[in-house]
Amino acid sequence: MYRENDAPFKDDLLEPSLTETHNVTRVLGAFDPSSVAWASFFVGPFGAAYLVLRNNGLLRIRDLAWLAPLVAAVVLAVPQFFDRELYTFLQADTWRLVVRGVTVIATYLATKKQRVRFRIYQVEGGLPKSLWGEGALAFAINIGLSIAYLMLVSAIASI
Amino acid sequence: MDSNVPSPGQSLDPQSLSIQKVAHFMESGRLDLAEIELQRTLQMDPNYAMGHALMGMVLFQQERASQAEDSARTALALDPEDDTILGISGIILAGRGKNTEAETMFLAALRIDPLNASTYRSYSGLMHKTGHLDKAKRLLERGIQISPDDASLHNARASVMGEKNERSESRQSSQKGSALQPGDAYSHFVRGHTLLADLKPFQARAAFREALAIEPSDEDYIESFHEVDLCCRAIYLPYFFFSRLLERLPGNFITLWVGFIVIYQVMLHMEVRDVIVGTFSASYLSFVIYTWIATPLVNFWVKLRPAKF
Repeated sequence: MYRENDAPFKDDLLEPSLTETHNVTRVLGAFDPSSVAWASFFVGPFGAAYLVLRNNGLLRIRDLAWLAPLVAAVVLAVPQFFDRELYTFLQADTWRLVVRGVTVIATYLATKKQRVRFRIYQVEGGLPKSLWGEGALAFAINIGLSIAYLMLVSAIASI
Repeated sequence: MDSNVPSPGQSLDPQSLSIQKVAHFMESGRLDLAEIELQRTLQMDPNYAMGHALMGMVLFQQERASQAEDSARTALALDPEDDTILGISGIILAGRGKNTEAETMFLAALRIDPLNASTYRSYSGLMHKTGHLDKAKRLLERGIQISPDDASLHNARASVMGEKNERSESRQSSQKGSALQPGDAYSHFVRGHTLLADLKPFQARAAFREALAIEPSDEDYIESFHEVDLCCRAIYLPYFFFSRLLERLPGNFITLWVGFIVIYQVMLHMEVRDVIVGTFSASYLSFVIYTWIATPLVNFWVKLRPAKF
């Protein structure tokens, strides 16, 4: 039998554990953050950033984590134009694979807060939204922005 | 709440009598009558804090969460030092997604009465929901120390341990819960979830069926039965095992995906015969496609062959 005197003077069980991230109010639907990370391989870094940003909006999260896949991919893509030796060493296909792989990891890290909120949303009976529609849009966004980005970097490299 | 219910032989004041009636109505699922009774009591004494708190609980169970929160806040304004009112407010606020505020309520309640097992259970529910499984487990164990014969604490511990993948502990807690309340539908419900975590979907379905035999109209039991019934269908069974095993794999699907890419690249660099690489890739792709279509397929199949209770 537990007695009051059994409790240590400072009881860590009676210390708060939750932060603002754990408050899940007015969330009517959201994508499963694991699916977003999974899809980021197919939709590319710009598409991934869009999906993370969109899910942030749905889960009412305000942070800049959505930039992570974008930054990772941009940093990785730059040597293709400035470091020809490294580029030829790794081959273009491998580069693309590396960029996509890093995008997945960056997206997974960027969705950390989303996973906390999504878990609570799901426990309260919420269902994940389908990613097909937004995924297709993200794919299109990625193509458009990738072309624009490549044109920009090529122009800079040729100067 | 129990402390407010007088023992037999004591004279009942109107408020205690009202609470007894409300408790009876709530236990028998007559929330409409409980609400009418509380309205009557609050008309007589609008400053009756416990009445407002109970009204909050009744409204919350009727899924009128916004009104429930208003009642809880009124109760708190009238009596902010009552641990029962704080506990009820915590439950309502957690249900509204205001989890940090709910935690504050539970902690305040436990500081006032650190021996209230039911508050430990409610607080552990919040910790479980928010993914703090270790703390949820420790809170329940403290609750069990205080009230070792409370089946709900053992059942809640079984759920937490199941999610922590500590299956033997989960099974033990579930068995204790069932032994303490053998005819209780919730014990069967928890046992079902424990069996499901144990990768025994057919036995889990049988447990949910037993829960439904006792309480056939409970929506949670019906929903769980339908979910586990999907897992027992031949179309979905491989996906069920795959998804449960994947949950236990560190890094989940990313590990699987990276593993595939690594093996594929190694095969290419080692110049493995095309037919082997092709078969490996096609098998992986087929499996991925299966995981995408497994859910719509089984939903379609269930429409053709509905579940039998």
